[in-house]
Amino acid sequence: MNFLRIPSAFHGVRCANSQSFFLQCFKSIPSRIQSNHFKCYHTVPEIPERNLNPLFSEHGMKVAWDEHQGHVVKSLNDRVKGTELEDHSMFNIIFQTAVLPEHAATFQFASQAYNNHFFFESLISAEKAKADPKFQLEGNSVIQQAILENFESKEDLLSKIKQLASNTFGAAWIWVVLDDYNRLQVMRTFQAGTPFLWTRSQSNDPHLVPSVPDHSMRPRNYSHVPIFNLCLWDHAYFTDFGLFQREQYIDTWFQSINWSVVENRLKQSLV
Amino acid sequence: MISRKLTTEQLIARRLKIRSWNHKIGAKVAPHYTPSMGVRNPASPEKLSMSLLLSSYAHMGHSTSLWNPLTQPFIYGKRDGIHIISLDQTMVYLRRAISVVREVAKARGVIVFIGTRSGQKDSVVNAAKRARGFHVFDRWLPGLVTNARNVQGNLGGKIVPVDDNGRVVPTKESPKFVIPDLIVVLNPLENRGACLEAQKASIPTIGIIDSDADPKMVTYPVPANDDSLRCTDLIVGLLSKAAEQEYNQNPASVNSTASYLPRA
Repeated sequence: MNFLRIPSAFHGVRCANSQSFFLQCFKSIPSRIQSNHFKCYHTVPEIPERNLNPLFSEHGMKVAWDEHQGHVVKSLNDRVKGTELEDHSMFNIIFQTAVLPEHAATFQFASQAYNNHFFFESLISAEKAKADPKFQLEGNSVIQQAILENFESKEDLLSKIKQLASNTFGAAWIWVVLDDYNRLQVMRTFQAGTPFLWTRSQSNDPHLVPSVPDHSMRPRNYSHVPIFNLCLWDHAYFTDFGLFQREQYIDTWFQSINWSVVENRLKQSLV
Repeated sequence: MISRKLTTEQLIARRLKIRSWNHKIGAKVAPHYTPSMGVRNPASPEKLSMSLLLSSYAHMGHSTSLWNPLTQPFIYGKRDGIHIISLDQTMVYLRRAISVVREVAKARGVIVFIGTRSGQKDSVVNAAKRARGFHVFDRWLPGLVTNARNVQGNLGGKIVPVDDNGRVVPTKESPKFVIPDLIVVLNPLENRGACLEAQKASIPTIGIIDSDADPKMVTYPVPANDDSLRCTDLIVGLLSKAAEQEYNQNPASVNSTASYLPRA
């Protein structure tokens, strides 16, 4: 009788000869050592809109999405292959590897894959956005109300983003997040930082000598739910706009946002 | 929308809420197996295939020195000191077991799922819910069927007829015990009492027969690995899904006042 109820590999293994003993132990664990790893991997996901014409041309899409995401996901696969993380979603991998120094690179790749897909999911071509009211801000009440409560107007939000962008040098992401007062805040993460974890938000400019440590401010656990973001990595705008034309890129981006997707995200995050 | 500062509980609830749509962002993860998937959302009988059985380690028998020769028809061969169960046989017997469960479900019979090993509780409970039956995960009390009047009376709880709106229907006599129409045992070697009681009460049984078990103990043996939770979760999931499909074809008759099956 199984009085102990401890799940164990030795359950039901009767001491036969030593050969079969270990095999019987293996029998009760779905063993991953024997399984073939080649099928377990992450692949580049599909985005809803491939034709993002004024924002990304055909070639720009290939560089910013296919090549970049492909490279990031492939590097992640190479690092995660064979560990238990290969079955987890990006969201999980970010949290599992964020605080482990030996997995710092895995974290960067996972976070970048997440950020990039998050960015491309919220985009739609500017003509379609103008044509159909359900993709515009005015057609989506929840996000429109949220923006008007937190910033005076849509233009004010854009100007705040542009202000933050003009102060950033190098690769960064600008996020509009929901904080723990249910307000919308604009925040910035350099390189491949993530807004989910305070310790990994990488919000301080890496070019400045830090006078205060990165997470000296009181850590806010669980807050910051990202609603939409902006990619300020060079590969996003240098093919179509030129290396120094960030402003035009940001203007075009603001016209290409698919607000219905953003509204869905907001509705599913409010509690 | 701007509110007071959210409490930690609310923040945690929000974090759990965003997980559902955030998991898909980043990359497409290749289909893989997780134990919770096998328990909460098992494979349905259409998905049954040799590769599914192989990946669930259904072919691993016990040590050759512990062999019960009555299982000889189910054995494919020996390797590394254990017997290998023939998956051709497993497919045939499992398909038969699935059709038995289907017929019992069609006739609105009561099914009991017994799985007393550690770790089988969740899958057995979920299977019972799906198949609108009963479950046993701790210990089969001797006399549950042959001495039902006494033993089931001592279990506690009541058998209460409930109408469509969920209100209790007052009846003059309420049933004091339930005799099942089918028993599914995941480890008949450890539940000998249950198998013998079923034989005495003429109740058909489906059981997972490993290479050291006696296939004569159950009516419909399913030769498979009883040690691996992945395998037992799969088999009990298949059987319960078959019953659920049968009920879903005609949900009105299952939920009506005349039905005496436990609520889903």
